[in-house]
Amino acid sequence: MKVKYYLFVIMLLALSSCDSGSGNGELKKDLYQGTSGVEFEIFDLPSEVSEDEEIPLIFRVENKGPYVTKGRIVINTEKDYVNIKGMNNYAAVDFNLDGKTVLNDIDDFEIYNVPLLAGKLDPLSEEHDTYLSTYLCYEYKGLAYADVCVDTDPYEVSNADKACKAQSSISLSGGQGGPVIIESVEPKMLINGDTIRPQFKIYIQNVGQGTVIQSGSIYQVCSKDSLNLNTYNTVSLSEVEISGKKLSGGQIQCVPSVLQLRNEKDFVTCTVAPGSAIPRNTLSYKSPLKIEINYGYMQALSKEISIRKILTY
Amino acid sequence: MKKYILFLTLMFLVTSCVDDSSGGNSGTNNWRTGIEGITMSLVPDNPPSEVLSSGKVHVILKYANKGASSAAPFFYLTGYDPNILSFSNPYVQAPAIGGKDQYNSVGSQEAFVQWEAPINMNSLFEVDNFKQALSVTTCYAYETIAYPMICIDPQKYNYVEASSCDYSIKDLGSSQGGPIGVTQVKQKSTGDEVFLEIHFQNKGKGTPYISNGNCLNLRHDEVDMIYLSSVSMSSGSNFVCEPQAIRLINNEGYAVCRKGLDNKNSYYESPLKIQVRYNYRDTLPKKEITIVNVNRK
Repeated sequence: MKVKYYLFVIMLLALSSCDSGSGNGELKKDLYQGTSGVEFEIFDLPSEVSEDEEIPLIFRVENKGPYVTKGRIVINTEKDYVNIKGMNNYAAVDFNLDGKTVLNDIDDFEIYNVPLLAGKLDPLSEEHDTYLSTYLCYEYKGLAYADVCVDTDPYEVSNADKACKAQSSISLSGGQGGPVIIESVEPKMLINGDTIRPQFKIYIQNVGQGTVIQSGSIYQVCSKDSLNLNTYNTVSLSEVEISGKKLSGGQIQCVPSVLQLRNEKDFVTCTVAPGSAIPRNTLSYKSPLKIEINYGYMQALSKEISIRKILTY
Repeated sequence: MKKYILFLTLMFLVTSCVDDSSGGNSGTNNWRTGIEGITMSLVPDNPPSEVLSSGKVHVILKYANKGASSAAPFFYLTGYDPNILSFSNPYVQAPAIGGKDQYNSVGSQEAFVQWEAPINMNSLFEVDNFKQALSVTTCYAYETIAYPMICIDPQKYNYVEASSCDYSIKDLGSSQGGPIGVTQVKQKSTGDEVFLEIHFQNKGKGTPYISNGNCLNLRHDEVDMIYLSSVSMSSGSNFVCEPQAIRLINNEGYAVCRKGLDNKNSYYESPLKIQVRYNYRDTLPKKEITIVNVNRK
């Protein structure tokens, strides 16, 4: 009797722990959130090596965001003290990584092995501390969707049971899966005769540890090439869209077209063009505002290595 | 035993006592009650809270006429982006639907309006999910009719003789089967004329208005207005009322009506008919749906 009872209880427990996995959370994957983009780490680099010893530089580059990316990692060493095998003191590794998708939310990554060789010390030195510098440059983007209210009667001139009212600010501070985030949107409805022109002040911020670089300049920055003034802290607004009106289609006008971050922040003001204004006799409605930015990103990582002479005394 | 029979007789007498003061409002004659007109609600899960982008959005509205007037309501589906949800006919005029009457004190049965729209994701390829609001507004022409009893005594202020009326107005009730109610009637009579101060109240959650145009966007001078179409007595004689277009302030308003006395020599009782017409706009609380993008690139 007891055995049967226990068997029944165990079966009940086993059944109740079954999960079909069809919960709401399965479908509503918020891929575009967080502030991590591409990250890289160096595995267990020895802090002390001997002359002529091979140093295994193994690093992993991982895309934690939802955007497909390409980039380059540059390794710089102190000439003569640490050399990259087969090269001198400079090496570049290019990579391509996929972004997360609904069906595959595992971070795409690559592991690289760049063998280094410790050089010889001066005859009079017993020890030398050197730095291994690595730079990561990659192309990235940010994509935000904000549910905004297209309020066709913001000052309530007429009496209507409105489905929504214009908000003063919409926070998106959770990020969109990259280090440069579209932080908030301030919608404003400009009245223009019998029409309204929705206007959006879009705030952008670099919340990562790295430096924003101009989109398309990653191979310049992660190289020995010279750079121009606008290379750093530049973010391009590639698309703004609401209710079928697009920046790329000319129905939305944005000022400035390129953002120059100061203290890691800037904003852009986008307004629906006069020819695409929305009639005021339309009732207020909700619509997703799409904002897309492009940028490059650079992160530096350095490691200290101590090269010691093999002492014979 | 005798005591027992006496007790039963007393009980019978007590229970058979009926307060007839409500007069016409008792039994089947009190069907002109209630503050509802056209009632509506969304059928549960139509639309559901979450809709997949590959599917369609279905909205089913059930409505009924729970008031005492017939109406042909308009229903407007609003709140969504027409570039995303392209409902083919968001404005629907329903056929006339009767309400309560002397044979039906409940109101009409439920009727339904259905909308359906595919989801046009356009260039929203990468969005995880986004929200759309759906709101249903109904607009309809309606009327409220009140039938109180009035007792008019031309000799009321005669010092020699006491007033013969033991009431002034009765059987008004607090609602008459519509969102606009006649809440109070005050009577004053002189030797020649009788004056009525008739008070109205918007007891519903919607907005009364006077306009023949688009009810969704009304001017401020069009809302909170009702029209006192007639105040008459059973003899057929009408009161002259000012104003006829009554503005409700804080949902309340009144008009003053006057009429020459039919009989200046003695008191008389008569049913009074107060008829007020209005358009009424009511909106359901918006329902927010989340559209989950299942075609992400």
